[in-house]
Amino acid sequence: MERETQVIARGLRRRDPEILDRLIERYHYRLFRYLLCLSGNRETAEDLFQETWLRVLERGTQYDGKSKFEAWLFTVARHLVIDLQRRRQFRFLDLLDAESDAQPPTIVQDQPSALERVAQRETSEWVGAAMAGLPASYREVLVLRFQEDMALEEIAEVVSAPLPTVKSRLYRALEAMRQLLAGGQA
Amino acid sequence: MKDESHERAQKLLVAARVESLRAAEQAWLDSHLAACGDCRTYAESLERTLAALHSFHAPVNPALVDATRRRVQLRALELRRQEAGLRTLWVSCALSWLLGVASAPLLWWAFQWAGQRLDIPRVVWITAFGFWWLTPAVAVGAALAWQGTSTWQENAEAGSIFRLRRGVPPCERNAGKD
Repeated sequence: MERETQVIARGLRRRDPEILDRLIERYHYRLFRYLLCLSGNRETAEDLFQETWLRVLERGTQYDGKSKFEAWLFTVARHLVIDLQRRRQFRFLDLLDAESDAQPPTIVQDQPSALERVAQRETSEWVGAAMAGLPASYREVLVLRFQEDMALEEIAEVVSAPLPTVKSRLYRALEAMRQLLAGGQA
Repeated sequence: MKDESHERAQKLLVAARVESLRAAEQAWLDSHLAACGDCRTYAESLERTLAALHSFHAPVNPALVDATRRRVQLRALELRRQEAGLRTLWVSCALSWLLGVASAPLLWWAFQWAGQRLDIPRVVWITAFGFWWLTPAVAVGAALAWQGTSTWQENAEAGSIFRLRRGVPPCERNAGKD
């Protein structure tokens, strides 16, 4: 039996509208969550969401069906985010490159905590607010690992970084997130 | 208990959430946690962080999904149309080239015969033959170049939602809001 990823790859090569429709239906939530985490801004995420699917349509021939579709999809989305950063001194996004690894976020306890700032809101909004305090490269690995449940190797492929870099980024991101949330609960 | 052991325990607690620990590390961590309240609190805090991350929900506006579907469908049709047009042009080009090659000896003979019959200098009728033979290839090449350029322009315009949707990138739209 043909693997699902190969069916997707064949459909993308043919620019099959049905396959694209099914892919949008299936992955829209995950893609949007990834873009929202990366951009930290809903309007930007919405623009990037549309552009990502158009890019999937146009560059669909590049997907070989050997890896998971979602890993390729997130790679496409990531490149668009980086393009946007390059086009503009982008105010919503800090750099996704390795520079942000060298500077772990400073957790300032005197400032209003995440919980104080979004008191009475839903947990996800609280988490979102806390995540906004992290560098984009940290938010990215957190969402890929703990929301997408991706393997470390897949994350390395998506973010185009060596495995040790991904691991250390994850360690720092998790600890920073813990501090932010703990600060919010204090 | 030494500070280093707490530090090690906390590093291992984070590492355990990212990748699996070796059996010896896990055994050491378990025994440390059994005796250390601070590190147990740290472990609970990490668990709450992970639970919070799992609970993060980002609802998508259904109108956005519908609009994206429509846009992608339209663009898919457009790209298919472009590809079909290009394919036709390439087939025409290939046929033209084949016919040109196949008819070249006959055409050469015809030009030679006409040149001798009308007493035209050899260099003139050879040049005329060259022009005659090259004209279809030049015409098809020009058509391909034109088609390629206009397709590229169309794709570049259609490729950016920012230009199509609201006229300016979001970063520019939001400029001045803060």
